[in-house]
Amino acid sequence: MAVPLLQVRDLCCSFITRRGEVKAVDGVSFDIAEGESLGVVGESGSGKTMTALSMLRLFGPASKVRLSGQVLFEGRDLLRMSHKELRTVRGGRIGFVFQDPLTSLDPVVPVADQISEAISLHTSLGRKGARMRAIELMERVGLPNAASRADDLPNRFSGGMRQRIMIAIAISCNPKLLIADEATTALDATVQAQVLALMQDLRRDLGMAMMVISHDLGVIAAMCDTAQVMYAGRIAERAPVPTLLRSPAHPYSEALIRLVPKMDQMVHHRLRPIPGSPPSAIGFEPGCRFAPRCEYRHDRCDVMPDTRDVGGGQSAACWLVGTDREIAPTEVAS
Amino acid sequence: MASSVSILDDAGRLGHVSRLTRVRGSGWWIWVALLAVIVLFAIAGNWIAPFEHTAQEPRAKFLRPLESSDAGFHLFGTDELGRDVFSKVIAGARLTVFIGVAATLIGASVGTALGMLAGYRGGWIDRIVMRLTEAQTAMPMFLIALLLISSLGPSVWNLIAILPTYIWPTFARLIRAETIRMRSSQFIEAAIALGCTTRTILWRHLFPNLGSRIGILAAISVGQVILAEAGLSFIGAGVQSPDVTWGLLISGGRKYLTVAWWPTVFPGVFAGITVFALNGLARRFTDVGRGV
Repeated sequence: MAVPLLQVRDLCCSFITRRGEVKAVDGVSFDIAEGESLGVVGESGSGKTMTALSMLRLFGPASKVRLSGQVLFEGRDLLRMSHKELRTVRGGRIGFVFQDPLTSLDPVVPVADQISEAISLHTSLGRKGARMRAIELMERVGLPNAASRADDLPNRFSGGMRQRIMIAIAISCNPKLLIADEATTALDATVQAQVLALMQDLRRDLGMAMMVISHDLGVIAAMCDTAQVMYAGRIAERAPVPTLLRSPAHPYSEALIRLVPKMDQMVHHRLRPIPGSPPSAIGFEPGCRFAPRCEYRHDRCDVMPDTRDVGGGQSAACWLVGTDREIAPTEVAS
Repeated sequence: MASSVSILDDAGRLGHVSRLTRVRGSGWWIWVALLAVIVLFAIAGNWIAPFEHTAQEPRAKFLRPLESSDAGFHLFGTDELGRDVFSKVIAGARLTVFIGVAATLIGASVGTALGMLAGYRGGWIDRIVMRLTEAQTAMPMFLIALLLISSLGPSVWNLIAILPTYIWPTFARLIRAETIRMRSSQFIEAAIALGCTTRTILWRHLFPNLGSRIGILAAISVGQVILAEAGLSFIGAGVQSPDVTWGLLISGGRKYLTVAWWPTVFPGVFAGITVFALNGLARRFTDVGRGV
């Protein structure tokens, strides 16, 4: 089997604060193959975004972050390369689309200049060539009248259009991997659907791999081949999307899937939120981190479970994997 | 009476705001016009002035404003040697404005660069820059400027070298605070994710976004520098004759203040108007920035 495009091994990311070390990402390992689309799902604070930021070391110069592990991208470790090398990867080999299109564009620079900035950073195209390519990209992402709007400032564009511009910037240098961090969360449903369709088109045309970070299982289901559920800085489960939705192996995945509102059950179905809240990232208790909120909790959960293979590309970090969940659900103290 | 005590409802508050806007909205062009006149004096003074500002007329000493001599009409009167005060004010504009703008440019550049670096990098650079601004603010700058000028010798270039020390700490602190606020904004993060170098981020993304604030502060600073220069020139530690600035004119006229007020008051009024207009314009821009 070919070497995956991206191999993340035991990635840890923690912040040094006055109250102690905050472990945002705690021993995460996963692969993304060429052209694969991986979805990362989990609630706020589960470490989805921090995983992506850690991979490219995207932290401000003044933040105190400790990173460990390996992020092998095209055979090179992103965590150990020089800043100069890393800059060629950022935006060149790996594109990044952020959550909020309203604030991700520089408010005082015309949009075409922002796109061509990315192009001139990573290619040898001259000013004219970069601008031509920028307008071409604006057309490619579905902005009407690209040539006449090239010199407009970002505030002349709607949220959906700005996200299209962000996508144009991210794909401008034909990256091998596109990371979309909650890229459609700030958009309304119809615009979200358009942007998702655009991203799927681009992925097919450019043959790039994607890492889609979202708390919305619907987005993951529409966009991804494989999904990865994160909880409290660790990967709870990884499975092909259809498998995950049909038979989740981890109790947390199961609870998450149950929480997706179903259109046909809207009238009488009451959503049951998962009781309790995620553990504080300062000083985790030993044992399974989901245990305090888990319906299937039992004695073994006092010890942290390893990731266990379920088969069919599915694996989960739960003691119950392979046991058919004989243990009856217990009342969860909340 | 009752209406002024009542709690303003939405409509009332809106009306109030729009009235304010109208007052400010119509006022700003007056400042622009005044500044335009002063800049015109500074650039084209030689052609505008009715007399040579050094031309003496012994038979027409201390003519009152609006009086005429054999040589012609004196709008602001004449001084103790019969020189035309209006022409002197026009002549003084050039060096006053030049020193004000040059010293502000230097102070603003130094302060902005240090502020951006301190705010973006944080850490030890930040601490050093902030301690420097505090040290600077704690010192009696006017006395130190006086000391330096008297040891270096009073000249226009020494003034331009020393006056920026008045204003750079303000720039450094404001720009640092703005940089810190903007550093965590997503477009800066996006620029990092794009592979931009720190220099590109500071110069191409941060600096243009700070532009309006730098402009506002610079307008106020020109006024401050003009006042400081006037102060130094007044006590003889600034510009020396035959160069002429408004501060020097005020200083020269003060001996005859009991006899004639006009050689002192007119340069003072012009210095005042300039500072006032710069502040007014700066406030106008601040309002625009806030969306008023």
